[in-house]
Amino acid sequence: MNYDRPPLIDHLAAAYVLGTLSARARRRFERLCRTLPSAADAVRDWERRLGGLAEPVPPVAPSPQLWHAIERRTLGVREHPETARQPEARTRRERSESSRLGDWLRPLLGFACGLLLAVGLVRLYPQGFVPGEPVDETALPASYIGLLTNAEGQPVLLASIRRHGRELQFKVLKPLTVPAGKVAVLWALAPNAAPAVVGVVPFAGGETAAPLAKATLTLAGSAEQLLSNVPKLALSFESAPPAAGAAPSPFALEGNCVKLW
Amino acid sequence: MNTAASDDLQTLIARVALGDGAAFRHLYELCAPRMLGVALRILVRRDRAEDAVQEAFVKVWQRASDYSATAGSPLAWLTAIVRHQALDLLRSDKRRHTESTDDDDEDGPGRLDPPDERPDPLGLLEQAIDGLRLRVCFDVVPEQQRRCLALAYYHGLTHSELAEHIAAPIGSVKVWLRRGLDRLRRCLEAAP
Repeated sequence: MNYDRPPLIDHLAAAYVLGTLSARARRRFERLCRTLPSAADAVRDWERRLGGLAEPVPPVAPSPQLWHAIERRTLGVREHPETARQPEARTRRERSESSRLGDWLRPLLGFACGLLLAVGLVRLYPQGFVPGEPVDETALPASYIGLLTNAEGQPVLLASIRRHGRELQFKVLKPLTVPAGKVAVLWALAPNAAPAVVGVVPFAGGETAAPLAKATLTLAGSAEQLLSNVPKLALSFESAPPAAGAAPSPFALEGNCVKLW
Repeated sequence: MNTAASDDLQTLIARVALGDGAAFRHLYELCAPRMLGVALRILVRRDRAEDAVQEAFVKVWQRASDYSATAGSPLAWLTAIVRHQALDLLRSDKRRHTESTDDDDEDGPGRLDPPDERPDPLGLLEQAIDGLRLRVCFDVVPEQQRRCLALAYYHGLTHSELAEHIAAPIGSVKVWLRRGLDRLRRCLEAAP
């Protein structure tokens, strides 16, 4: 199929968004969207156009379990009070069963636990018990590093994060003052794209962060997801966390973001 | 949804992009009922519709930073996400039922089971057209074309399912949908 024809792309995007494509055709078109920006743009246009058709659909109240399931998968909340009782009951039951095992079994269990603990320690810390393999301690872990400089080209802020990590660490290299009433916002600058908000760097407004001061920003995704195509980072001071798609204020700091591997 | 509410949703999505859990919960409370309504129209089964909404919100959490105002209103963006999830679940459920590949050019009659007992969604489309103030512009679209659009959008029917549903050749269905969508686009572009 000749995907160079814009009308064909538009036609497929409309059918994809409307929902008339078969499963196989949907997958095929999604693959195309990943490699052909004009196809992804056409999808976005049709999603915007057809979004209004959902307005008259009556809302339906979700079950309470739905939020719990979403919360577990996104915010990392493992258990809720209403479900927490089950493991508790199970523990009591297990405790009662273990009491029936008899006194003669306890020394045996104690020995087994001791053995397991010893094996576990040897496996976890082999260097403490047997000579280990030589480790190259000079190699740095795979990470993304950003060095943000001021208008004079002086390095002011170092940003670093493990390749698959979500905790972006900042280290102040030169005094950094966040104006009162403002927040420091980190932006990702990708080629041919508008600046995208990475997050708010938690330096207090109206205060000066001294050299060697540190801060951490938890990202919405892994560094690999968010920064793999980002050659530059920038910092601006905004009145409030900007909405997605908002334009940044003039950058106070800007610098390269590199992959360290 | 009015402009102020839309701005609020934009702000919430921006905060979600920054990993704000409270904003995420608020966004869910505001939008999940509407998204579940959309998913339920497509999937019919309540449990599957909730599955679609669950997947959609996981995607929202992971990809909130992808949202930009140029993608349309926040609600249109969220609706698109949940519709894609619902359509994927619908196709995968049907594939499991029929135990065969599902290609709309190869589909034969008799693939829909059980019988679709949902009410005709044409009324929803008419309401939407009125809500978008496209009535005058859209009135030239014949009823059969509107019905095809409504069945595709609200019930997620493929070309071949539509052809079977309205007992028309699949080629005609494709042409009607194309004309209906072209008209809708022109109406939206001409709207004040």
